[in-house]
Amino acid sequence: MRAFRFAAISVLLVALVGAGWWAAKNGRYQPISQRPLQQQSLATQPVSLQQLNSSQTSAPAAPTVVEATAETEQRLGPFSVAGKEYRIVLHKKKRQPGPTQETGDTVVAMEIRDAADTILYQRTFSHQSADVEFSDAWFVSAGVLTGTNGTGLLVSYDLDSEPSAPEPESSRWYQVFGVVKGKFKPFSGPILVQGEVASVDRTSKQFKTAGALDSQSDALNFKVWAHHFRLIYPVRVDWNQGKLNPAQACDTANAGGSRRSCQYAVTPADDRRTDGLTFVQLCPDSAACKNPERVLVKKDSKVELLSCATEVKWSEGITSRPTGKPDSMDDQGGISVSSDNVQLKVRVDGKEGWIHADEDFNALGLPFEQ
Amino acid sequence: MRMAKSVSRVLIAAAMLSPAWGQPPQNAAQPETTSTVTLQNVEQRLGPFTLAGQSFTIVLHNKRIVGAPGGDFGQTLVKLEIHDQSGAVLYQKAFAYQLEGTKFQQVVTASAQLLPGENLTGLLVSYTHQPTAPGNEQSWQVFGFRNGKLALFDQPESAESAMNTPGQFIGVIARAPNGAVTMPIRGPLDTSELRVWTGEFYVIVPLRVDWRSGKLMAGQRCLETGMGGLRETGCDMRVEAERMPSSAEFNFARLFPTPEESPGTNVQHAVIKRGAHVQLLKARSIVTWTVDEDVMRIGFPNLWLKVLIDNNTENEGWIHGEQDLAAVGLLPRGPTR
Repeated sequence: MRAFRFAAISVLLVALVGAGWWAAKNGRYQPISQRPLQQQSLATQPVSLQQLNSSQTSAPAAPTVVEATAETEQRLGPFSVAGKEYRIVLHKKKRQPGPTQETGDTVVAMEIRDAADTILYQRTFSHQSADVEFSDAWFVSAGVLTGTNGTGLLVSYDLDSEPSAPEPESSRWYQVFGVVKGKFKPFSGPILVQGEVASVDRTSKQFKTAGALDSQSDALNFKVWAHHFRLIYPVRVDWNQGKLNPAQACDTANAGGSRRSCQYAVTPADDRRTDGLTFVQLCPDSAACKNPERVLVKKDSKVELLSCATEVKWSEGITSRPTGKPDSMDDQGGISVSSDNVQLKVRVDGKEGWIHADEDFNALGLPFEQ
Repeated sequence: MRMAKSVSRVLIAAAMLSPAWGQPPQNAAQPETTSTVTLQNVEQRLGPFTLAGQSFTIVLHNKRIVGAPGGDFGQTLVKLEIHDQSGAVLYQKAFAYQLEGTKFQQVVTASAQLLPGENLTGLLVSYTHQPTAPGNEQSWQVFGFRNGKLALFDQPESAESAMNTPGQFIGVIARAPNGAVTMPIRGPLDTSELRVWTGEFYVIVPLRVDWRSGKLMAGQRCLETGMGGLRETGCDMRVEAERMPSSAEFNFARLFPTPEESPGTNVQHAVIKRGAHVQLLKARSIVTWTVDEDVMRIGFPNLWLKVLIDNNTENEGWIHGEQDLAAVGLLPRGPTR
């Protein structure tokens, strides 16, 4: 009996060793939790700029959450600007779940450090108390801004506040940093935009300017929500002076206070929805006309958005470092489109003209803003 | 021929507003010649009309251009007279006329009908003027008995003065802001109706007649309660129209959910296909009453028309303005018959 028991154990051990050898040879039975982190994210997660940046991080490889109030750290970069390398360090805490039971982290502080780990710029973000009606979370991402006359670091800040109503276009802040006379500095306060930077290459993790405006500046284009469509707003990036300004002079109110509208390029309307027959009222130019021509719009009509005329307000914000007050963006500037005076030049089945009224934007099936 | 030498191309007859009692009627068919055309007097008689047991006849003295081609501009009214049974002229009104080439620059016509009430009867005289500025195509007079004599009744006052005058504010429909509640407040007076040309179609406008005091008043006014009290909004009116649909394959109309143009209104763009069935449901406007010498005129400062296209309630709404009225086949023109 004893010999039998020994023989049985021996057979079982041999079988287990054999099974292990077979599994190792064929690569099966590997638990998902033991797969490399990089393999998981590439296989199952949408790749955002933030995630792309975080995948460059050298140390630590992944933040470790210990408890709700504990702070974790994430490093973005390195980013090569004007021949030097910079990193962004994000300090995070657990996001308060709020009524919608949100999960994940929120950034509570950001630092931009040079290769020697010296902090060159820092910003803090408010962290909510436990009892909240809205669950807020800050996100920070960054990429190199490459222009014809210079390079910089473009940092974007996003605030997710839940619950929230759906918006045709979300808002975020952008801030350009660069090196002027050997010193790393912000070119403006964070610029609040309902839209985004027009040119970003997610593969190379780089933003690109739209080309040179002169020998020392480039145009950085923003796609800005104009209540029914998106216009292209060019911002001058002056690499020598380290400043941002509107690229078109007409954007500034004149001394008398009257406002002048400028013409801007627009992006194609990908989210246009129409059904059945309708019409739009076209005027020959951007000024409103008494008897606009009424032009048929069919479901399959070819509708092209050509340009727009409107007043866009620009503010560069405060360039000096933030004060660290609870309002994390008290130094913000912004790009915003006046809601009461937007004209859009369109071509409908070959016929061109300007539309002015909400009813015509709706007739074209452009997104409607409440 | 008595004026042939002295009459130039422009002849102006002074309006005679006061009664010309006892003047005999002019004879018909007395030709006169201007430098280029020959005018002929043409007399028409309307009636007799019986009011309070007495008989009255209206005599229309017209000028006709001899040999003028058929059309609307070859004859015009130059004088209207009201005669009693004995032939005495109780009232007369003259109209200026002006020649433009071989036709009249403006043609005036007149018609008359009894204006029946519950106990009393009046005489409604309607004038049309073509061509003329929009809103001036028609004018009216109401005659009735005052102090035992046929006399012209007082015209309605404008909306503002009527609202501020105690005792004038009768025959009113009050409407809540949402339009849901109507409260007809009827006065003791007789109501008649005027068929009024708006420039593109007719609307039926109620008219109140106070036989005892010889006064006319607006038949109804509609008010809305709002900020600061009552506000006149205009009443719904019946519509009579002769559509002349466009031959275009598509016409376009802006349909408003309510008869007002305010920011944020959800305006629907309706495409009207050729041959579409368009129903003209009703009109709405504040009605303005204007006294012009001894006639009254009616205006619609902000006229809206409710339409229904192809029996589709999604294509039901209010339109206004020439462009939209034309889209449903209502073109600007002079009064039709």
